[in-house]
Amino acid sequence: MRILRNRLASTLALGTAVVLVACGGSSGATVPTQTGPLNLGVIAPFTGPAAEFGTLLTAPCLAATDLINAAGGIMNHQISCESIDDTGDPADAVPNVTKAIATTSNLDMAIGLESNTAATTVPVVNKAKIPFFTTNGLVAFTKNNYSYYYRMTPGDDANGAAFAVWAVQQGYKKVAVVFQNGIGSEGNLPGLQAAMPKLGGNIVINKTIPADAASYSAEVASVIAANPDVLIWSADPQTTATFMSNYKQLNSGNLPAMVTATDSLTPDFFNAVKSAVGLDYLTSKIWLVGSYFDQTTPAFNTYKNALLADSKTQGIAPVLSTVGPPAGAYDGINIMALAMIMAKTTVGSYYNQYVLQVVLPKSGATVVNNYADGAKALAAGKTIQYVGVLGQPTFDQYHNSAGEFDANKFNSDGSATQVGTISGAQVIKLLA
Amino acid sequence: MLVQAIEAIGFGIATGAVIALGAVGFSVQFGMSNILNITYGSLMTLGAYVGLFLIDRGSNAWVALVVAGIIIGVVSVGFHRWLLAPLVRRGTRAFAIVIVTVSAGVVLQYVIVAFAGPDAKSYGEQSGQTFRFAGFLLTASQVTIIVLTLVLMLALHLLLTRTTMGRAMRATASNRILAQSCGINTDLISDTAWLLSGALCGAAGVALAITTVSFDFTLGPIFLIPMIAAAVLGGIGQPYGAMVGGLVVGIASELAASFANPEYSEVVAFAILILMLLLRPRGLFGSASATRRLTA
Amino acid sequence: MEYYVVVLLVYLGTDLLAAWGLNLEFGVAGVANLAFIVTIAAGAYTYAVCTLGPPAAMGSFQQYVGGFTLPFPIAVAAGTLIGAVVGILIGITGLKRLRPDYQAVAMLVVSLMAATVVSADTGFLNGNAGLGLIPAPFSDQDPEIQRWAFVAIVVVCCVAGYLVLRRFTDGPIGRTLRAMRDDEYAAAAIGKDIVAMRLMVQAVGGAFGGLSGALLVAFIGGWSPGAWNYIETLALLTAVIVGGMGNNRGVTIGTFLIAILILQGVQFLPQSINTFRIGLREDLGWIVLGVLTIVFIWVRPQGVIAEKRPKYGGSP
Repeated sequence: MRILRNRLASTLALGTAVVLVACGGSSGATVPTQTGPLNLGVIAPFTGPAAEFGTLLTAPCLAATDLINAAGGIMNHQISCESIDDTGDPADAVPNVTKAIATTSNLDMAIGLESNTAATTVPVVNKAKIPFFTTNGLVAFTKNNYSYYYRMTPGDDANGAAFAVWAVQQGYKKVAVVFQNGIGSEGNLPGLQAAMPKLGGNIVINKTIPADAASYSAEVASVIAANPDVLIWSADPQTTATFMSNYKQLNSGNLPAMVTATDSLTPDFFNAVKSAVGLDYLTSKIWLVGSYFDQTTPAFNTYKNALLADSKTQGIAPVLSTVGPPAGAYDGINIMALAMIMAKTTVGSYYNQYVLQVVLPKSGATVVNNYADGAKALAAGKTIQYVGVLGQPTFDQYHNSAGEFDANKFNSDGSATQVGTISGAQVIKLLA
Repeated sequence: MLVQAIEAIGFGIATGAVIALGAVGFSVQFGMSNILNITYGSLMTLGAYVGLFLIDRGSNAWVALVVAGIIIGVVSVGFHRWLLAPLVRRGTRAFAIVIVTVSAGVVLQYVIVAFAGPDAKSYGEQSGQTFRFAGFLLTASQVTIIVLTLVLMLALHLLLTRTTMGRAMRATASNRILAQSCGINTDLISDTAWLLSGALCGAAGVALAITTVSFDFTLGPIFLIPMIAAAVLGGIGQPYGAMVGGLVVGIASELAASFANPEYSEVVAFAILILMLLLRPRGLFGSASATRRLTA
Repeated sequence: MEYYVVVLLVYLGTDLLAAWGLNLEFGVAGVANLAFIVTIAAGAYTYAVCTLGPPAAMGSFQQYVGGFTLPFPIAVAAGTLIGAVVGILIGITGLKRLRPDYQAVAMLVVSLMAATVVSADTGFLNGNAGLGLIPAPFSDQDPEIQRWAFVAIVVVCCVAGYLVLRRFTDGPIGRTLRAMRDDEYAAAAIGKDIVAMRLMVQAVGGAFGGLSGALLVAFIGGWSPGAWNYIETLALLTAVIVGGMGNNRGVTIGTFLIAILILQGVQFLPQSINTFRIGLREDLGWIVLGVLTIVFIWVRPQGVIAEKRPKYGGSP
C-alpha cells in the first residue's frame, strides 16, 4: 500500500542520513537529505463554491515544475504537483491538509492556502515546517508571526485602496460600490472607504448583494437612481453576469464603467459576462486592478511559454498568464527551489532561512529570471538575485511583499493588457 | 418612493412567475403522492442543463423548455416508480423518505457537476426587448414566462376539472383506496401526475436558467425553498394557491431587496415558509383536510 | 503522521459528541432537527468571542461582539451553555406538531436563515470571513505536549458526555422519550409533559452540539459560515441512520464509518481520478454518502446496530 511504502521510504532516508554526491552534498555538512521525487502541495479548493481556484492554482504549479524538471530537477530530484483539496470549508480543510502532509513523501513546499480556509490551514502548514507562498489576501495576515509564510500578493485592503486611486485617476467623481457578500469583498471595502475621501472622491451608494440570486433588479434600480459614473465591483462570475444583465435591461442598454480586481481575470468570469451582456462591454468598459507585472520581461515569456507547452494548461494559458496570484505562485515555487539549492537540502526547516536571500538585492549578484538560469549560476558558485514575473519583491518583516499595482483591460480572447500603473507607496499611505 | 415600490412589484411578478411554475409542479406532486420531494430541486437543475445541451446545439430556448420538460417528466416518473413508491409500500416513514429525496438530490447534483463542471453556464442573451408599462419594467422573456405560466395553469385547471383523467387524479389524491375501489387504475394515474409535475419541474428549471442568465449546478436547490414556501403559502396540493403563493413570495422578496438590506431578500422566503407552517399549515386556500395532512 | 493521528482523534471525538446529541434528539426522542448544525456553530462562535480579545486590540481586522479573553474551561462551558440555549430556541419553533417531514424542512430553513443572518451582519460575527486566530489552550507548552493534552481533554469530554448521555437515553427518561417518539398522544395520555420533554431534549442535544463546536474551534483556530453548511447536518444524519438510530453504540459506529472512513477515505483514492475532471475525487465522496444513505434506508433502515427493543418480563 502506498502509505506503507512512503513510511518505509522516509524512515530509510532519515535513518541513513548519507550525504549523496548526487544531491550536491558538501563535506562535513549535517543537513538531512531526502531520496526520491519531491512533492509540491497545491492547497486550494477543488470542490465547493470556489472550486475554480483549484484549477487556476494547479496551472502555475505545472508550469513551474515542468521547467524545473526539464532543467534536471532540484539537485536531481524530480518534482510534481500534489493537489490538496481544502474544500472551501475551514473545518474540513484541516484533516485534508494534515492527511496530505502526513502521507505524502517529500512534501517540501506548498502554494495556495486560499482566503476561505487560510485561518485554519496556515497554522497547520506552518507547524509542519513547510515553506509556502500563499495567495490569500486576508488582512489578518498583514501582520503575522508565521516563519514559513510568504505572500507576494497584496492584502485585500490595499486592493480596495488601489480601486479608489484608479477610479479617481480616471476622473470619476461619483462612485457606486457594489460588493458581493463574501470574504474577499469584506476585505476590500474598508480600504476603499478609507482611501476615497482622502482622494476627493464621493461614494454615492454602497450595496452588499447576496451571491447567485435569480435577479438583482431591485438593487440595480437603486444603483441607477444614485446616478454614479463608475461602479466599483467585486463578485463571482455568476452574480456579475446576472447583475449586469439586469442593469442592461433596466438602463436602456447602457452599462456603467467598472473597476474590479484582477481576481476577475478568469475564463469563468470572462465567459459568463460575455454570454450575458456581450464582448464589447468586457473589452471597453471594465478595468481590472491588481498586482503589477510587466508582460515584456523574459521572466513573463518563460512563464507563458511553459503554460502553453503543457497540454493541461494550454487552453487557459493566454488568460491565466496575466493574472497576478498564479504568477506569484509560480515565482514562489522558483524561489523555494533555488533556496533548496542554496541550502543544499530539500528539507523545509533547513532551507527556509534561504528563501528571502534568493530575492534580496545584493551587489555583485547575478540577476536571474527563471529557475534554470538560477540553478546554473548557483552551481557555478555565484550569488543570485531572482527577479521573476512579478518583478523584484520587497518582503517586509512579516514576509509580505505587496508591490506595485496596475490596471488592465480585457482583450477579446479573455487575456488582458496593461493600461496603467498605480503606485504601491501611494496605496500604503492611504491606508495608514 | 412609490415609483420604486411599483418597479419592485413588477420585478416581483417576473420572479414570482418562475417560482409559481415550480411551485405548482411541487404542489401537484405532493397532492398526489403525499411525499415531500426534495429531489425536485436537483431535477430542476437537470432540466436547466438539458436545456443548455440543446441550446448549445442551436435549439431555440422555448423549444428547449418543452423538450427539457418532457425529459424531466419521464425521469420523475421513473424516480417515483422505482425508488419512492416501493419505499412507501414497505411502510418507510415519511421522514426517512424525505432523507432519501435529499440524498438523491445531493447525488444528482454531484453527478451533474462531475460531468458538466462547476463553472457558471449561460444560455446567452435571451432577454429581448424591454417594455415599460404601468410603472413596470419587464423584458420580452419575462413577459413570455409570465404568459406561459398563466397558460399552463389554465391548462392544468381545465385538465383537473373538465377531463375524466383529471377527475380521476383528484379522486386518487383525495382517497387512494376509495379511488381504487371505483375501478380507477391508481398506479397509472400516479404515473401521469408525476409525469405532469415532472414536466413542470423541467420547464421551471429552464425558465430559471433564462431568468438568472447565469447559473451553475446549485441552481435548483437554491430556488427550491422559495418554491416550497409558495406552495405552502397557497395551500399545499392546491395548484392555484401555488400561483398566488409564487406571486406573494416574488413580490415580497423584491420589495425587501429594494427597501431593506438586499441580503435579507432571501430570508423573506424562509420567513414566509416558517410562519405559515407554524401559524396556518393549510395555507391561504387549503381546505381543513389539508391541515390534517401536514400535522402529525 | 503523528499530527494526522491527533487530527483524526480530535475530529472523531467532536463528531461523536455531535452525533450523540443528534441521536438523542432524533433517534431517541424523534425530534427531526435538521438545524442541529446551528448549535455546533453557536458553541464554536461563543468559544471564539470568549477567548479572543476585543476587536481593536488585534488591529480591528475582524469585527465581532464580545472579546472577553476568558480562559479555556470557561469558554468551553460558555459554548456548551449557549448551545443548549440555541437548542431550546430551535425547539420552540418545532413545538407545533407538524408532520415529521415538514418539520424537517422547517428546521432546514431555520438553519439556512441562521447562516444568512450571520453572513449578512458583518459586525456580529465578522460575516462571511469568519473569525480567525482563535486561541488554543496550552499554547505556552511544547507543541507535542499541547496536542496530546488536547486529545486527552477531548477524550475526557467524550467519556463524561457518554455517561451523561446514558442517563437520558437509558433508564426512565429514555423510556419516556422513546414513548414520546413512538406515540406522542399515548405518552401524553398517561400524563407525560410532552412540551417539557421536547425542550429538555433540545437543550441537552444542543449542549452536546455546543461542546462539540467549542472543542473543534479551539483546535483548528478558525470558523466561518463555510464550516456549518446545512449539508454538514446531512453527513451527521447519515451517520445516525447508517449506524443505527436510537442507540449510542450504533451511532458511534456510524460516525466512524461516515466521518472517518468515507469522507477521509476518498482522500486515499489515487490522484489519477482527478485527470478526468479536477475535484472528481471529492465529488465522489458526497455521491457515495448519498447512495449509502439511500441503500441503508432501503435495505436496513434500523442501521448497522439495531436499537434493542426492551423486553418486559412476560409475553414478547
